[in-house]
Amino acid sequence: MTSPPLLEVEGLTTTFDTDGGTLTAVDGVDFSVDEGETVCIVGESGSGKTVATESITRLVREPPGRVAGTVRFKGRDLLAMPDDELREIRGDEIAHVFQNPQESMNHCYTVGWQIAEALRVHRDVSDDEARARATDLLDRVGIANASARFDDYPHELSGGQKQRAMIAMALVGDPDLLIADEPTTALDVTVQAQILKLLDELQAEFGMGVLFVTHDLGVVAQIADRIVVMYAGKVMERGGVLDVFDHPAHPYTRRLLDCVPELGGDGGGIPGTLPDPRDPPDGCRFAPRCAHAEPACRTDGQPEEIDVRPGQRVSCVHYRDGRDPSVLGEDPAGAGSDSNEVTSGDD
Amino acid sequence: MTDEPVLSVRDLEKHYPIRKGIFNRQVGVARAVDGISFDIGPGETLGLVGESGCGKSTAASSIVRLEEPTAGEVVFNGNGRGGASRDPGGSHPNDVTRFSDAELKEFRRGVQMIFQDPSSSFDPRMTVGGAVAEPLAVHGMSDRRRRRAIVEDLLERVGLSAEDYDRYPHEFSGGQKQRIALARALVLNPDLIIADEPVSALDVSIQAEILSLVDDLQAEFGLSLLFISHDMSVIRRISDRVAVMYLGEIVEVGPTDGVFADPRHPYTEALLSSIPTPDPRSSLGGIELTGTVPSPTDPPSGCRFHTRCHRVIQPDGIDVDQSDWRGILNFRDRVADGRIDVESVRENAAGAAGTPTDEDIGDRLRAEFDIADEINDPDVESALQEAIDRLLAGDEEGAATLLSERFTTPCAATAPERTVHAEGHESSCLRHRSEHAVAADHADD
Repeated sequence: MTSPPLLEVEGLTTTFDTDGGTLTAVDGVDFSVDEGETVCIVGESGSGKTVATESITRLVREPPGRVAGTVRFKGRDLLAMPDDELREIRGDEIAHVFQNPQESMNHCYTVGWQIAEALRVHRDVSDDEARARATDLLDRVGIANASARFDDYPHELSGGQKQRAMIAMALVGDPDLLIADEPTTALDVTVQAQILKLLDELQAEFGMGVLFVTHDLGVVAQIADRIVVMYAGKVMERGGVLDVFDHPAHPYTRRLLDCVPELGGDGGGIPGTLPDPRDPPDGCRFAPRCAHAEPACRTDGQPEEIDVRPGQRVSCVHYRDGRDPSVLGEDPAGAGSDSNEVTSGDD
Repeated sequence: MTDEPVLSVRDLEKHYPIRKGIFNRQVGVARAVDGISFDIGPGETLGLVGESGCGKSTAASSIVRLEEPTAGEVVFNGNGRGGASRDPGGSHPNDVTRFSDAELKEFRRGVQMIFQDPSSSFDPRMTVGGAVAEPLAVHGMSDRRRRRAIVEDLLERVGLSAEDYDRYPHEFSGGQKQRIALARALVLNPDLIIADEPVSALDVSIQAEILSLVDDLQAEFGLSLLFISHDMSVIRRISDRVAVMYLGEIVEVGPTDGVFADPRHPYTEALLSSIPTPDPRSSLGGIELTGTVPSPTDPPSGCRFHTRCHRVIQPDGIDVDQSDWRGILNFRDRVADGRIDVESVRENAAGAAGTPTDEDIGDRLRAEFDIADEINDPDVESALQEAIDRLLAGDEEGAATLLSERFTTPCAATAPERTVHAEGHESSCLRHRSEHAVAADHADD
């Protein structure tokens, strides 16, 4: 690839000072997002995926938090940037959409006012222009009768409409990067389908990069170009969506996919819980829950990432030179991930 | 009878009065649950699925009389009360809605509930052992040591350890708390557990664990289960039979495999197609439901789903593309509500290129409602164009009248009856009218 990625995160580490010691939520994570690309960060709750995305624009409160590493956005390091410069970018070139639309809106202002405000903060526009742009965006995200809904308060909208309005607010500055943190988790499946389709259309139209955080592998399969699998603050595996679904390499990714009955998994779950982020295990973070852990997994930190396929890398000792990854069991390719097993009723 | 259902719900209704003004006059009624019927057999799991606001949770709380049902019958044959038959008057001695306080207390020993949010269903100042043992004490087991022995045993059976007895809820993760909730539900050895979205707040990996635990415990204790969820994939994993609820009514019920393989109600079809398939090669969504669930205070006439249905029937004499038909009906409803803002459409069109002609605006309107630029039926086309012209001329009322006179659907006029498709698989959709195997009232079988 000749052109540098839109967003390039290197060695991102976010720690929090707590009474019980220093808690490392994100521990040296690298990933990148290209223009027009959707990258999904996947993992259980507590794996650090939300903190990682919030660290990008330093939404993490400092102190007690501390963000280290480099985050290059269009070549500029966001973490080394003075606050006022970052504020110009945040909400304009980089926009966030959060999980819970109820909590992300101010109840005391109308929806349209809040969207228009997001524009006024970043651009020198008149009230009328801001209103026109906000109305246009409400219309674009599929809110019927936008000019009348402009004056509605958040409580007058349904959950799905609120999330649409949040997306409108995020799009107001024509962002180059949209960071969406579980934007559909609180919604019904039917509404979720509407929102995912909307994001897809908007992405095609605006050509923005999307960094999407979710724990729902069904959603991932639908929207992702590339996947980053996180566990306990570390990246376990990364790769193209087809590669990771067809040939999951890391035992954690395999167990995660096994939790989805539609993929032919046993649906047995993953025994055990996430390690304490104040005292993470010495070797691979997943070793205490991994059925294939051996002494080498328990020392020397998280294993280096090893290429298993072009673009797909895994952090697991079993893939080192001279090792035989087949001890992890059959490559579960074809165990249901082939496209002939379709679950929806009507195709 | 050995195959007597444990729970048998008939025409259950829960209506909430809506009051207004200083005299608290009743101005309307919200039909949260509007005549639902189902049976749950011994050891069986019935999944109740639907979007938020469809009345699933109200149904649950009306069944156990946490809220008083407005009408209907809930016959509970557990607690060793089986084999009873109806009184000459037609009422059933096991009808929960007629239970006295003493009977109700006994009933609540046989039925237990589990709720969605495990953290808010425990007292933070009570040890988990105390919380799990409390129902035992309430129901008269005064021997403290025996209570402790029972609870410790149960904690181990749900995958925790006996030492957890003296720990407090905050020391446990969400999944572990849900295990404790399961232990508490099991402590009185109930015949039926009603679980209201018990895994919705949990991670997939934990979800899978809890679901298999529920499976194991169900087999071990011979439990019947009413499992409420909005998540079709969870329902599929756990249920023997599925009931699909929409706006206070059950629109389809049947064996899990049958409903998932061959959904007969368009709503079920739409719900199934909304589940994101964990297959990166399949494309996004099939059937897109427009809008949201209508308000239960004023449910649509006829079939309640007709305002969103992608298979809404065309009347005799009209035969256009189904997607155009849906679009025309959406357009009609929006015009009738006065919710089309011609000015804003005009403004938006103006942004594109110069002063827009009426034709441009008409095209924009059609595009907004996914209606083709020209409909293949000339009569329909001319009526639609006429309505658009009236709308653009500022005659909204005229447009609304024309549309509502010209475009009607039998779905709005007739409430569909139950059609039996296969053993135990029924749905309520007018499209099945011709299949004449109609289940008039399955209360008698």
